[in-house]
Amino acid sequence: MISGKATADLRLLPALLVLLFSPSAMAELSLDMLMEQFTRISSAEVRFREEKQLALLQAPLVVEGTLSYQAPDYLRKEVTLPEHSLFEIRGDTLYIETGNEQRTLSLDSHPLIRAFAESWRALLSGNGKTLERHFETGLSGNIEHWTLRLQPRDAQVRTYIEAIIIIGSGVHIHSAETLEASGDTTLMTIMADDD
Amino acid sequence: MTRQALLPLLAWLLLLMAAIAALRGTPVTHDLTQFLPTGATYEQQLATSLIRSGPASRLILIGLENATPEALADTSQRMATMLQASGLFSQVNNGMRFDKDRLELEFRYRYLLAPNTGTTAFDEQHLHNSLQQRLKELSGVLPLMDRQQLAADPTAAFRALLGNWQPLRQPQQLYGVWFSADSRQALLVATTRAPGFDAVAQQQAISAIRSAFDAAKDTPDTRLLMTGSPVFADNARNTIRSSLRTLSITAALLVSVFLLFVYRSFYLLVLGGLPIVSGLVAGSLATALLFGSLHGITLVFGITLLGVAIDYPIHLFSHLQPEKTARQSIMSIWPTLRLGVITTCIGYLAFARTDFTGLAQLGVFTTCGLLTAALVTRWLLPSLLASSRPVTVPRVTASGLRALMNLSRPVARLVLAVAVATLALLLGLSPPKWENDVSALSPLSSAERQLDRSLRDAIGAADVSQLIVASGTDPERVLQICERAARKLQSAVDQGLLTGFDTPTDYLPSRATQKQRQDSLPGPAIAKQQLAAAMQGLPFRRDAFAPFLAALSASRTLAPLGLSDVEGTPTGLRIQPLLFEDETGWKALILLSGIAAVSDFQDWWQQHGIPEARLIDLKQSSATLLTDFRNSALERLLLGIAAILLILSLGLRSVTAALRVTLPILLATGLTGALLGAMGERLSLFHLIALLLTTGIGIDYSLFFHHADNRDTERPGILHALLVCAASTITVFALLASSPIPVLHSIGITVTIGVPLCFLFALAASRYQQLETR
Repeated sequence: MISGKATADLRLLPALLVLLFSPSAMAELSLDMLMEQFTRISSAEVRFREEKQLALLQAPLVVEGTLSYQAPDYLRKEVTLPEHSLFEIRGDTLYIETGNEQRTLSLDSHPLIRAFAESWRALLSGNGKTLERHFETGLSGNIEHWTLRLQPRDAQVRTYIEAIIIIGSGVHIHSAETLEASGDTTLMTIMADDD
Repeated sequence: MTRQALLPLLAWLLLLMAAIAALRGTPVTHDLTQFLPTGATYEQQLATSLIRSGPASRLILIGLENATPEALADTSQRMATMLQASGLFSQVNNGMRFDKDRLELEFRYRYLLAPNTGTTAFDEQHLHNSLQQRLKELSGVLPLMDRQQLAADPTAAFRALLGNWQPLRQPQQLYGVWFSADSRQALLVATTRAPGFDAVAQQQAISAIRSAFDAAKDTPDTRLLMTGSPVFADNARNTIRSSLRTLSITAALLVSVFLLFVYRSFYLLVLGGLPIVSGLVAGSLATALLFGSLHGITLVFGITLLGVAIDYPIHLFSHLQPEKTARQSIMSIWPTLRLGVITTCIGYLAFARTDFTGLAQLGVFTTCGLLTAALVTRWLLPSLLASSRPVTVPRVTASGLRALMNLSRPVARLVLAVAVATLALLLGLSPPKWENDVSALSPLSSAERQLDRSLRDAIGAADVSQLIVASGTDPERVLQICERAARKLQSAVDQGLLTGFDTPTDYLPSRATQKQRQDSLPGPAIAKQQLAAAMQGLPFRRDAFAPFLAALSASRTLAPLGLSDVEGTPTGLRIQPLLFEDETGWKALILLSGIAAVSDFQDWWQQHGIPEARLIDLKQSSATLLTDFRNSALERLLLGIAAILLILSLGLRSVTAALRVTLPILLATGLTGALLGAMGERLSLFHLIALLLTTGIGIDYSLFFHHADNRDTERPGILHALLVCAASTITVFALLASSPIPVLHSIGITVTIGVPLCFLFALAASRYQQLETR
């Protein structure tokens, strides 16, 4: 669940209530309608758990960390388990911290991070156009339970990533699964807040 | 026209047509490096060879601007793809990622090519560390770009190999391609396959870039910027070509109008053109026959003949008198004219025998051209004049001319004294400085220089003025030398003497090294056992790395790669500009970057380096090259002057007379040099050539003044002729002085200053001597 701590939660509540009882909630969901919901989020921070199913590994690799967002274009992913590493994206700049290495790069030097970043940033800021520019989108379900399938348009990215499937209800994202061209998958589950 | 006139005219026409026919198809070259001497020392020869064909001579830096970054990035991508496909470039880099499909050979050979396969890389401990490292990367925040290769390459040898391929410093990237720091310019770097001296092929490469740009740009407003040696050379060629046209047409027009004004006869104007045309054709033919080609600059220099060769018919025309035939007129001045021509030619012959193709061409061209012009004036013109109505030359018998003729002795003395004093003063105050920068000889505008600097900074292109050249009899040996040199250089890097270096062995190690790496690879059974042990406690599937074991065992039987095996592959394209064969054998270049203090590093290499790998300071070598060459040109200039003195002594049958003729001209020449220095001109080779030219012209003047000394009736005619000569010569050379091409500017300005001084001093000296002898 995206639950902007203090900032997002309370302000989103009325919007959600209106949403749940409005007639459009029952109608077929369009990308514009879904995006419209997200435009109201200014910041959010959630904890996540990733399970990587790799052909090379006997058992899934489990990773935990936090994901933060600030409108319009700040995104941060921090892995806390098993080993600390993080990246931070502001605009087109990518800052990376792994082990004892720290680097600032252009986002374009990492097409895979770019794909990840664009999907999350575009979604959370409700920017349908950006999303459409980077991905072919397929939306199904209704506002309470939607599935958004994103397929990269960039040929180079497509050699690595087949699709990203995001499942959510309203502005709450439950999971994002990345299907790689190699057959490996990464399932990111957004965890409910402890408090 | 009488029969008498017809024969020489017919003969001349036949010769001219035959010469023009012979000239057809002679290639005109515009390779500025022909104006570089071959060099005396090994270092200098290397420097010349590098300037002509080294990596810097092939590098083209490209900037795209004036559109949105997205559009520029698109254009950059499309251009890079097109240029790569054109086959004209060994490398086109714009920051795009390597096309993995094309690296099949490199991937297959990774355990022979990559640097991290020391003797211990595949033992249990190293494998375990590698695997742990990969696991960490997998669970880290960064997705692994090379994860698809993980099973076949858990030690990431291929990644290390490609890491070597990246430039040390790269521009920032936007939308997948290089951009300038302000994000306004998309940047590309292209390396031509053709070396710098192959002007035609480089021109093709430049056109290919232009047409790729035209095809790839999104909006018509997008601008293409290009810089680098091939571009400069191309621009220079175009400048020379267009200068050749405009300068010769303008000079011919100006001189024609002037002569028309002086002689008021179209017929004389046409006749005056005959020696020049003949001279140009003869000069070109002689050069073409001797050298097989004609240099653009030689051709441009040909128009300076206009300014000198026009003197010959002018002498004749001004001597025409109603009571004499043209033949009688030419006969009265021919001994003097002949001596003038011979002395000028002797001066140039000194240059004809240099190891400097461009200069030798100039010498041959001028000598043959002037001789021909004089011969045509002597043998053809009188017969054409004899048959025409007697030409009455409207004499400018103005009081000015008479005043000049009657220059009083004190004034003459004053002129000479002032000249000597000025020369001494100027030499004492600010002796002329020599030009030691090779690039100053190339016709680069300051705008071009500035563009070059900004693009070079943006791209972070390596400064190639310091490099190490390894030489040997074959590529393998040269690569081995590079490997030894690289080990030494690594310790220099560790000591902070430089920040890095780029050696061809980063792309292709020697066969010996590949063999050594191959021999250290474990056999299948041992590899399997070590891998199994290394995987203990790690979550990888038991058979996860089967492709790795297969690759290891396959690598053991691969034949090590040589230079010929990688031809056309990405490795081959990268290594080509760094490893090549020239006249003296195989050479490899190690490019050095970030040298803290050049002299410190030179000392260090002197002590710790290896003899087969020489450190070359291109800037310094080319500067000493220029100095050496200029010194030898100076020697030749002095030699030329000595030869002139000798010829004059023989011709005038008196050493004193020869000195009297020569000294005022040497004074004028010296003062010209000093004045140029005072004006802030840095004297180059071309100033020296022009000084020799001035000396030749001046001695002509001086000879005619000497000639007039004892012939009072001829004096008005001679003075008239000399004034017309000087005026037309100054017209032509002032035009050259205005040219943006440094070579032409140097020659033009020198002669423009020198000729009036020669005239004045020769006149003053003759008046001084004449009055003295009375």
